[in-house]
Amino acid sequence: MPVAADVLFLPAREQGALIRARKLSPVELTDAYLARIEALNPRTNAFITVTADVARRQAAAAEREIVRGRYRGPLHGIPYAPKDILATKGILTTNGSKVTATVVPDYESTITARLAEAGAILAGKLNLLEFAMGSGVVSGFGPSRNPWDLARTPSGSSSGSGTALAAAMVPLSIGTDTGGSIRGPANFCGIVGLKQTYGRVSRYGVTTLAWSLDHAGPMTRTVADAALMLQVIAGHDPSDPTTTADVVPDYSQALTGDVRGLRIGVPTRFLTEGLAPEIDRAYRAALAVVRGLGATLVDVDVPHAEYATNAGWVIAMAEAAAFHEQRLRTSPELFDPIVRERLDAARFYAATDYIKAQRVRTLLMQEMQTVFTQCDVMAVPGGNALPSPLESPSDAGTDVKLGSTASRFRGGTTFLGNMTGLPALVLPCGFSAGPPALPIGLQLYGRAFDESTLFRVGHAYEQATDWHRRRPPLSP
Amino acid sequence: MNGPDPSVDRRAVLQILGALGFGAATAADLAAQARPVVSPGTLQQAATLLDGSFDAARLGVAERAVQRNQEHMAAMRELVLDDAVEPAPIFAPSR
Repeated sequence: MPVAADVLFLPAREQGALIRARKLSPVELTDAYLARIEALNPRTNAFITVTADVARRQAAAAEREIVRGRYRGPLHGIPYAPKDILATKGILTTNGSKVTATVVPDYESTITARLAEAGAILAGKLNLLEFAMGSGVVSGFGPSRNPWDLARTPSGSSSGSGTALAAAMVPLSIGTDTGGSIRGPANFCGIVGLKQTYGRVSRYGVTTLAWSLDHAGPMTRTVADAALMLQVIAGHDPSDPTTTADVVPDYSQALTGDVRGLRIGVPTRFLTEGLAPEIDRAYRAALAVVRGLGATLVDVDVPHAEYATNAGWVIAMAEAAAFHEQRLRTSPELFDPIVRERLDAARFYAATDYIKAQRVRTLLMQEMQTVFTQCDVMAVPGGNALPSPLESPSDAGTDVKLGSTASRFRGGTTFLGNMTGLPALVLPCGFSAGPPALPIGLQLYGRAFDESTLFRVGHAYEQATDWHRRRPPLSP
Repeated sequence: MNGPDPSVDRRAVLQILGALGFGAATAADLAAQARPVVSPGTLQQAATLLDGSFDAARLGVAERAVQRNQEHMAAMRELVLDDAVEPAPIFAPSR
């Protein structure tokens, strides 16, 4: 029986319940998503590779297992697609770049291996900004487009993940985040993105951008689905020595809908400044909803937050330039021009700049420790602007736009998470008046390894609002 | 090589401009303009020290980008940190 379009927009948790109850066939669900991918990808460019044969084979196997009573868990039989920067054994892994456009790894990333073990179905590999740092316009596979307005960017670098989820081309994805690359697309596409604590999820098999800032984490349509995914992919991995051996909690326990007694920190400066008026209104309204649910709002301050992006940029680009040193020497012409520009320029950073940035990082860590003595979660906007139109190729080729000037501080609300390693969750909290109506996101920061409290607040907020139920004006 | 040092102490410039009655934003803009400019010659020399793999076109692009980086980094370079602030610990010897 054909699967109704409404089912494709259901949260994975609900799809999983239907599969477990044998009311939904993994084969039919997978076929329905593959058909939607085929219909929408020419317009959205979310997928670089569609693994239809693999998906159908895995779905058939899942169905056989479930019929025989061997149900693996809530992701069994659910399709997903990772950003094409996660190595998948025997399947093209491009990093969104012409430099690695034909690479077929002979190994599997830990994340995709764990998802396969949980019975998830690999539908394909998703578009991204080249090496998670390109323009998204001149990159090797062209830009993904925002389903809420195809002329606009879904942000990046996990651009295809944001697009595919908003357009219901898959219910689950994995993105990566070095300065905000999970949370930016979540913010612009009206979906949920989690950058969990550094060390919570293995980065083995994920192509490096910057070792000390890189994270790979869930991108989903609901907070509960992010919790489900994290449950599967979290935990120690001997192949990634940065992963912690701490026990992974049961995240489903956090989905209570109850935030009474929690203290929500509201920064008094920097992270809440320079917002577009509609974003400021949506942010304040979201805070009011959380307060209405029984949480307490408290003022907090991160005195050096305005340095987070500049310092983070130095660390990210210096580490990236070191990582790509050989490729830049042997095949510079294959890089996206803006990637080459950034990496070339980073080679001229002084070592003292890198160390200074790492000292700023220490300050930020100390300041966030202080913040979390005053509150349980810190709430900031997902970003400070609405999704912008896709750039022209000439504009997209350089950071030094004609007539532009450098600001002393780059702003932004996401790099703080990478600089401190702290977890941060973005979820939809409104839409612009439009037209076109464009998503607006709320970002919640938590204590190290306390993703549970983020899920608790995010899920409660989600239950009290319906932003996550909206669908973009896009039909097959 | 032996000409006067073109570098300008930014804080001193801001103080002078402030004393002349310029507002903070204007003073910051003017001080930014007083910062040394990355020239093709200096970048070429630095590139040679790196490994000399830059061709003229790449060096031209890098020149603009390095100049922009200088401007972005100015605020961080001016930030005065307590001597006790060490770089963030990213190396775990126990592992």
